[in-house]
Amino acid sequence: MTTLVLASVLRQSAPSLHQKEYDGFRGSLLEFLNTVSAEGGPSFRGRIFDGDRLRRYLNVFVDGTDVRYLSGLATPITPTSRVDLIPAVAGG
Amino acid sequence: MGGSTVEPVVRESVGSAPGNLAIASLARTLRCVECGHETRLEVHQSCPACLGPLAVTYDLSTLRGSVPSDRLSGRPRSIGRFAELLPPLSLPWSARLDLETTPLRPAPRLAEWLGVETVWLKDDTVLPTGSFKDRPASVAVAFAAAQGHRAVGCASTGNLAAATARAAVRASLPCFVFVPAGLPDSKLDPVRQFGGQIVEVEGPYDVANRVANLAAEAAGIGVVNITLRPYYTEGSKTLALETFEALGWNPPDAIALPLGSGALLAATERAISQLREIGWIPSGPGPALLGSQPDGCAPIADAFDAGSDEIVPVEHPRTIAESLAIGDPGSGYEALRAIRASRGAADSPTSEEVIAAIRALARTEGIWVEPAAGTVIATLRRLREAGTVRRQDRVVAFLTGAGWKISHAVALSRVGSAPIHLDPVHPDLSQLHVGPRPEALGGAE
Ligand SMILES: Cc1ncc(COP(=O)(O)O)c(C=O)c1O
Ligand SMILES: [Zn+2]
Repeated sequence: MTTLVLASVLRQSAPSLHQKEYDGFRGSLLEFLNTVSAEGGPSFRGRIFDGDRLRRYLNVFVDGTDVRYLSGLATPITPTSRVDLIPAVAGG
Repeated sequence: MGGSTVEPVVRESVGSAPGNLAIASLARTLRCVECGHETRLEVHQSCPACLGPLAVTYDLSTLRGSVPSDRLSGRPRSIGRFAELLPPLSLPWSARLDLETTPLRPAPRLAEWLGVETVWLKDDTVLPTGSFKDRPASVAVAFAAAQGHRAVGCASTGNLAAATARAAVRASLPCFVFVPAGLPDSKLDPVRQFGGQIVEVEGPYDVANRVANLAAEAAGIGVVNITLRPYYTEGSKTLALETFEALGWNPPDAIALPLGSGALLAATERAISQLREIGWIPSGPGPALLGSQPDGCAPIADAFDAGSDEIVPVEHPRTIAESLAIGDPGSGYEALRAIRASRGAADSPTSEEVIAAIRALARTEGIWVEPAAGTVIATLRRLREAGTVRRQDRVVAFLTGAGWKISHAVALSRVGSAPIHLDPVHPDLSQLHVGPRPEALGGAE
């Protein structure tokens, strides 16, 4: 299963998507997020995308790695991937 | 913002030390620094509309045109002194903001080494856990306590860990500290002493962050630099507020300061613009903000150098300045804009330059700093050489962390001459040469 994990600020606009599991998904991160935001509706999509780019303050992790260190929206998503959508944080 | 005109209430706080005053905060809302969306002063990690960082807004009308010395006289010399410009922390908690005002030290001998006429050092090495992080941690924890949180925590490379654990003691709250696995004991021992629970996460700082983010929600922990971020960053303003007061509200030409997440720099800019708004410092061009990152982790400085609006995160930071090894700076865009708006600069010295600067500061002024602060001094030297800083400039450097915190760093312990070994029975005292007065910066080791 491909699992989607949402930070609470994102959950508010699409509670049913949090920890949702997608059976047999295979494709790019862009395709995955398109699928997800088709379910979440335009306001959810607007929190993830700025035009056709990921929002500046949204961090997307695939299996724990920030996708900016992978292939961005082209990062492959498999049936066992875990995708976390989390806002950026302050320093430590 | 609400157009409230009520005078801030000044009254004796219940159960606090005599002379401690509770002063009402003038904070009004949270506003997104990216899209302007406004929300109430509650626990919000980021903008519900665009996920951008939120900043506290204030209704400063009651302070506008006031005389700072009238306003501040009789107040304790601690960060609570500036309570109007901090988030609401509720009576008993503001009384516990016990971080004393730190010294602004004139530094003539360092100024000579740097080649500038006037340098002051804002010395936060004297704070209880040895870094400026006591400021944001105290404010965030006091806010969390006022909001009824039952536990607090942080994601940290070390300094914030100690500061949050200490602040939690003051607020009688349990504390969870998320750290990258493998931090040296010197960074974690304070957390253990303060009774904090260390939570280790395999991987760099950004990974500890992500896990803390999830834990905050699952376990209801008020994580100071995540779920309490807008309040946390306000605490960092006090470094600038104290500096301006010590200078008689006469701003310097430049402030040099470190960049990790960029939160301190962004907060410094907010402090300056709020002081301008109330007329405590003149309007018109303010100090140039000179931000410093080590060259092994310089995403903000690299964007500045490239004239770019895009900050490219660094996956594997490599630097002796562990406190600044934040590859994905959460307040990077705010910091970059603030640097440019102030006609300042961002710079990234090498580890060798940082080590030399730490030594120079230690041997000219007798202050031992950790690499985060050494980086700032190295940057001043580089920017002076480049002509960005002029000889006649009046410069303030924020020394944000003490040297004893990082004595584990091998590269740093190798400075200075080798020890002289003396036999206990027949000590060869001729080995002890008292030569001429030591060159402050003794070139040859
Ligand atoms: C000693 C020290 N100086 C500076 C910084 C950078 O502060 P900021 O993350 O607010 O940019 C940190 C931590 O991040 C620190 O521990
Ligand atoms: Zn916004």
